Amino acid sequence: MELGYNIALKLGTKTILGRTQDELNISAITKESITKDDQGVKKTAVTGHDVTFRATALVEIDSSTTTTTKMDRDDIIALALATGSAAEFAVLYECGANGAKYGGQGVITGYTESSSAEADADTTLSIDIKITGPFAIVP
Amino acid sequence: MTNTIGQALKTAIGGIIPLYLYEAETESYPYAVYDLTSTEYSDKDGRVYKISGEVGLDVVAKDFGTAQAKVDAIKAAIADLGPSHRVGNTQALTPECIEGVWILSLQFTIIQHS
Repeated sequence: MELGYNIALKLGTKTILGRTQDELNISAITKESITKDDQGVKKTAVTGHDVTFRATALVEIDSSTTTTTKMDRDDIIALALATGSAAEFAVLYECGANGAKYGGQGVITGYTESSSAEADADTTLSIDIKITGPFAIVP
Repeated sequence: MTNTIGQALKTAIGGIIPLYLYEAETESYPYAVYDLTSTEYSDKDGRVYKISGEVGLDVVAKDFGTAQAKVDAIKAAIADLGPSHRVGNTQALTPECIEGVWILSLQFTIIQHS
């Protein structure tokens, strides 16, 4: 089993500062067809895939490391508010040292920030990313 | 991140009452004894971003008034431990008197952030 902290989601070349959880979801897009030759049994073909990510992190702001290796909360909100071609970025998903790396282009489709009055609660952010084109192995 | 919860307690409470970890090292009253159970929380980069300390603190004195005054002073002191430590979930347990010695207990959580 790959340890969770060895699995990394990168936006461009950067991981999210204070990252705690990454989720990858791949859903097949299917098309059904039927002809008389099918004798009443519909056929299903996979015509594509919806690839989405959800990343959860602590709300942290740090300008010293975020310019080189990390995206902090302010960087992510700026990207979430971008439009047009500026909203699109490279996505790289790595699974430890031995797993295949997958990459594509993505956009942020949702950003959520959660804060509480409780002293022992974490302030967290969550982003949803949709891959806009092919999602394939990166050499 | 180094765990500084114990040090923060010592700094805040040491001037109010002699404070000892786990066992009293004195036979003079009043004094306070505390125990501390810490849990570290890490992000995916292995960085410890939070340490949560569960503290049980007993104030021991020869009379209830002295013990209660010390408890009140301790509660005021731990309410402001500085920017790196926050206290929550403070509970005062039922006072006990054993052979003329009063024990007033507090339980609280201290959160240390990086």
